[in-house]
Amino acid sequence: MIRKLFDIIANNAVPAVFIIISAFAIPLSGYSASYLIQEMLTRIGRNSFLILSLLIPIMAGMGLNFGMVLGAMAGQIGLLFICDWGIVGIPGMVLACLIGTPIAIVLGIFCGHVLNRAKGREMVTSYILGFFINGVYQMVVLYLMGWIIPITNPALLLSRGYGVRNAVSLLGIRGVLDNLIPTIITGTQGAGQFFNINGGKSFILVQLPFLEGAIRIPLATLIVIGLFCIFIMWFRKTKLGQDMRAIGQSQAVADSAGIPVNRTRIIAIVISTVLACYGQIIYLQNMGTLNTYNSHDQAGMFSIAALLIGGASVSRATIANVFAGVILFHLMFIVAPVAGKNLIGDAQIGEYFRVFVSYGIIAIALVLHAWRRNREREAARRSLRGNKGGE
Amino acid sequence: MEILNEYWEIARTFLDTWGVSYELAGVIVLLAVWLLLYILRGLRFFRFLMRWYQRIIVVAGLIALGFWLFYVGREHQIFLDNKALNDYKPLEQVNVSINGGEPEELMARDRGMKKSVGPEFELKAEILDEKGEVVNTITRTVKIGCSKDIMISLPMLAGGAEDFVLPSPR
Repeated sequence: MIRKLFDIIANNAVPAVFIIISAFAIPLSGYSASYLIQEMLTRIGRNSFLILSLLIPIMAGMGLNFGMVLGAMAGQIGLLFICDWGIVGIPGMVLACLIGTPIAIVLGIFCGHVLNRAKGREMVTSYILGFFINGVYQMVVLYLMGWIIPITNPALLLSRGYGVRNAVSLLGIRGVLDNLIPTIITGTQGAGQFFNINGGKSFILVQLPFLEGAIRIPLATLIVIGLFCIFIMWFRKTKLGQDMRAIGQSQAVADSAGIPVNRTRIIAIVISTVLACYGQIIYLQNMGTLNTYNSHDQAGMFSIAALLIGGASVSRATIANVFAGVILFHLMFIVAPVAGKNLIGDAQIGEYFRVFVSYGIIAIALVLHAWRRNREREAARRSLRGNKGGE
Repeated sequence: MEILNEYWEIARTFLDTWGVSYELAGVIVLLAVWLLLYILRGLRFFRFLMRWYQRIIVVAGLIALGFWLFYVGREHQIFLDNKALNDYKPLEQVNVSINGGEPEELMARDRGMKKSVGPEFELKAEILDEKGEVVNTITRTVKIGCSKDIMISLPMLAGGAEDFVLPSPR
């Protein structure tokens, strides 16, 4: 009984800590409910796709794919090309995905082969691989673009004539997916009606009587994320999905059963990398600015942090963990600085506290996972020996 | 090459006679090849061929989609020029709108810029006299295609010249 209770607490310790901290921080921040809901919806739309791309390698027992930054880089290269060619709107976004896909596939295959040579140490290997490919990316973007790779738009190039600028405006595709089906939830206007606001642009208006203010919903982005969730659920039931789960349980058993372990692992990484590419494009269309040399750096770390905070572990993650993680992780981003300022008089303290707690919690999540895995191994060993007088 | 040209001429004659568009004919040919390979899939070689055929079709389809997206999603800068050109004198005042958007007011010797997305746009020019009254309204559909930017000479447009679309001044 106590052991079960301890297990429940240990399994949900990380989200529980975040819920408790948020429960204190939200009233201290003084933000209204509609503001917080708006921010959360925006951040769910912005980040969920990236985080969902982590689920498939976890299913295949490859841990948290720090190599997703490879996919993010591929997406950014696609975006740089569409910026140069002046392709805007949804066609621009889809074209960026089309350009990024083959690059992400090649990088995913490369990553998969490397990880197959480092079984059991996938996370640290993919983390370092991210740095290595980052070097290649920087060489391509900083030296080859504008020199060997044709980039003609002067707004993209550095003044020396080659290499891409540090900040690239994505004004042409900014918010195109988020605003594709403009929807507003409000507490003051009629429900379910179309109104012409802002020069003839139509919005779907939904009324919630208890709500104060208006909330803009990125409906199209949420639909895309919903479809992706359905894809993951469907994928788990396919032959390939079952193979991945079998490999995740035990590679030796899966190999004995005739499952091509290495090939399946490569496919898992390729899928994750390609999805990370799309996720980064969705993320950047929401942001509206591409930080050429840094945007991808944080993609992996923030996504993994959010997933762990959502209650996932290195070996087990669900769709629910993704959304719980986005909400809890980004809620801290919003409320912590203001809560710190209101409590102590300095926003920096709140931000420091958020960083300290967030990443400390990730460390705890990883330690808990290692401890639990060791305990399970010990239990398995004990069960093999049999219960001989408590040996 | 000559043989290919000969076959193409024969095919074109048939298509023109039957009134079938080239795009539809292309799709029919692709489907016919796939059907043929599907029927012959019992033979190992054809199974192999079919697999590659399907892959090539998918890749070709994606490349075609890329080109189409490039074609329909490209943003163009349209420079509106109200300066004298050849024998055409600048207009006193002209209001120009692109695709029904906000009109740009241009006085004589002015130059403005508008943006348009896609391979063509609808140009509406309202020519005003000295009193500010509309004396003439011209509406034209201008095709840009894949070229990046263009310039439109408004005096030439008002004068009825066909070559009012000029290369970009950049």
